Amino acid sequence: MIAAAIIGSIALIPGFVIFPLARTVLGMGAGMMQVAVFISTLMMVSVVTAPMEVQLLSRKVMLWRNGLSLVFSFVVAFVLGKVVG
Amino acid sequence: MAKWSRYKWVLLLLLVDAAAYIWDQSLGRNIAIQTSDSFLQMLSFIPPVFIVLGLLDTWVPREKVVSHLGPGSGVKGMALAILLGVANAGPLYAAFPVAAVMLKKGTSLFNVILFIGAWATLKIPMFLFETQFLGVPFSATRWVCSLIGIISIAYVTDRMHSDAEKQAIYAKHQQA
Repeated sequence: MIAAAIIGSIALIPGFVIFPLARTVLGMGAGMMQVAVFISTLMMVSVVTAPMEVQLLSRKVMLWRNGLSLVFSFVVAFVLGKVVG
Repeated sequence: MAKWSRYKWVLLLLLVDAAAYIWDQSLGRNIAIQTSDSFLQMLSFIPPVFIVLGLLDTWVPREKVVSHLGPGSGVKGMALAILLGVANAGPLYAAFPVAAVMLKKGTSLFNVILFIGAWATLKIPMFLFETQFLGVPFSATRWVCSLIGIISIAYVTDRMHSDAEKQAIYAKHQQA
């Protein structure tokens, strides 16, 4: 799950690639929570666009927003695991 | 030198790519294809975004934005910021130039963070696409959780910043 979060945080993949990929991985036997955390971090946390965010807002906003998004991705994953998994 | 340092990462990556090509030709070719694909995708997205932004910048008066999205715009401002974020299909990096214009026009920090969050994860076209692959229960749960999440993230981030820090951020966009 941690690994999924790390990969998801760094990569920036368009949604129309994420979802087919997520289904394939689920079909291969990956856990619901791991896939959920991967999707959420992919969409909300982005190391690649961090410099843009620093320039636009500030380093502090960037760190808080991405940090909270990362924590929150785990929350979403747990809820999804309970509701759907 | 200053001109080059701006592109230092691009140049470094090109060097790594070249090394990868020498090491393994099919890997190198793959990198080249992926890179040109992403580059073309970006070229097709960015110019229309900037044209619309230019029009918004000249047509929409600052007072209007301040009253609808500025500090103290309340629940209506929040709803509008989220609506602006969800009603599109562009990649996240296209959200930042939009956010820059919003800041310049006097949108509050809270609403800008909401907008970026909504753009990142609540996009309606993306939601419809997601339901096809992962099912409605999965997507709907994720959408609702994310909505609650981005509001709380925006709230906490906003609270962590003093008025002086916010003014510094707004000031960055005033002279441009």
